[in-house]
Amino acid sequence: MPKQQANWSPYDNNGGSCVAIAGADYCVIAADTRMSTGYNILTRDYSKICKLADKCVMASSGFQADVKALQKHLAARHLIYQHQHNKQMSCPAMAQLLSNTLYYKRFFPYYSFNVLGGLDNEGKGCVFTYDAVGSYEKVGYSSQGSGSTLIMPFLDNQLKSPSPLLLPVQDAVTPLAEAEAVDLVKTVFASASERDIYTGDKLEIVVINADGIRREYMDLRKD
Amino acid sequence: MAVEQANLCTPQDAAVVRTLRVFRDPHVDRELEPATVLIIITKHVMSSPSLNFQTQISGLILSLSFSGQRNMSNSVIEVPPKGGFSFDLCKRNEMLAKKGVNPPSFRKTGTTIVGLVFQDGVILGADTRATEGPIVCDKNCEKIHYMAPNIYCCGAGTAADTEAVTDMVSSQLQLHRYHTGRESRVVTALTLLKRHLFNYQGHVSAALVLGGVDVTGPHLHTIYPHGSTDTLPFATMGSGSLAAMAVFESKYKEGLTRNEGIELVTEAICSGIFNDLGSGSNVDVCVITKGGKEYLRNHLQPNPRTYTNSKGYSFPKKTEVLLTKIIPLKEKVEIIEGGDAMEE
Repeated sequence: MPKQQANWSPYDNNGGSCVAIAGADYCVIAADTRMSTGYNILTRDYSKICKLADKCVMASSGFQADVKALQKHLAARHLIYQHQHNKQMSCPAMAQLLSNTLYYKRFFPYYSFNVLGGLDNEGKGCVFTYDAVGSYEKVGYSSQGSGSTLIMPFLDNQLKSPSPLLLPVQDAVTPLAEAEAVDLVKTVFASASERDIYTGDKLEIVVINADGIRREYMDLRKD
Repeated sequence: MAVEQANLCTPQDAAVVRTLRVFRDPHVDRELEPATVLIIITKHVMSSPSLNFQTQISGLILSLSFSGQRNMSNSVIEVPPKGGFSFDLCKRNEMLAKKGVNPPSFRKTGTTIVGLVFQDGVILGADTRATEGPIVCDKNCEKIHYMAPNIYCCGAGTAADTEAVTDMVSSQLQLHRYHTGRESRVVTALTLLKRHLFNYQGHVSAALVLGGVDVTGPHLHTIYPHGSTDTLPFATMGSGSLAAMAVFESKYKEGLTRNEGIELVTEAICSGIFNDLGSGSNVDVCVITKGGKEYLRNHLQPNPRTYTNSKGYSFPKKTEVLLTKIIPLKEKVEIIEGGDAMEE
């Protein structure tokens, strides 16, 4: 009898894609609402987007149980911060907190691929992109999840960001207007659902600007 | 001729060599063409009951050396010192797999295919999505394959396998029709397919739903990759088979009319399309009756593109040129003027 290996995994991939785009005075965060496992759909109506602070929203794809646990953790830490400092956490501060939280579990990671979007203290849009163990970077736009390989090249082409290594430091945010950015996100998800089996059902778009947070939905392919 | 030096590893090889000796016409003193030898060997091996014909064929060919033949290209195969099949590449594949380099994935049709028998004949249905892992590689492929004017076959599994096996059996059926002068029967196609698939012990990954109408009546069969078959009044295969079968089990009854049958098949395929991630896009239907067949390609298209930007997108024409540096090529070839043209 050949040597038997343990074949239970603590992780599962629930699929899905998320995107965030930063503008001069707004930030668009979007994710599809399909939750799946293997070849089956668990639900067509699951929100992957979570509001962490007044001006800070996170979208995560990957293993939703870990995502849920991560969101709870961050919400608790945010509450503590509010008690101690008598104010909401800014987006860059939350970004650092998320990075530290993820690295804390470096050797049993949260199987969660995150994009954080919001407005910084000056009201300009900012997007932070993460890997599963907390490496992060401030960028002008990003996508994560099963459809990210399909979405990212298109965003690179339409929103090409100058390299952050160039001097003088150039603005990463896109000069597009808010409506155009939302339009771009809708096109990108419609295209991704054509070719990625894990992306589809419905698209949830969250827009943060000076007026507050606005939520919008769009139907995607259901097959 | 070096046949005599063949390594007689097994009794089967001895039989092949005997055949070759017979073929060498004693009246014409001419050596056997290498191609002839290969054909004889292949025929012998294909008809052999044993299954490791790979061992036989390689063992025999490697031991043969075709030397000094006119107008034959030098196709001498490297002879391993021990003779027999060379498993070096298997070891290499194992080593690569351990290092994390996996073999390329094949295009599978994560699929929903169905068939049912109705009043006047058989109805086949299929979705149209072909996947390569999690990516859709073809949004509108054809999964209902032609076998004979009165027989069609839906295929699930590896796309190349289903295409190849249905094409091959379709040709064999046509030859058989010429030979017998009669319309093909579904059981003929069934036997040809199951013999082929069993011979390959499940490595030809084709799961088929075969349906047709012949002189003996309407028939519907399922064929599994290992070669087993079932004869059924309604059948589903593919990754979406459970979703489709759920619909069939609740709503199927005997003696359906044509329209009822088409509706039920469409519903079953739609169930696969919407609930199985490996199936999607459109519904193909094929109705076969004694009178003839009706291939309804894209009978239903329930998944249009959800959003198209009215203004469209422009793509910058080329990548940025950062630096241009031209290095002229050095002439390495000497041009000989007035040399002899192509020596004989």
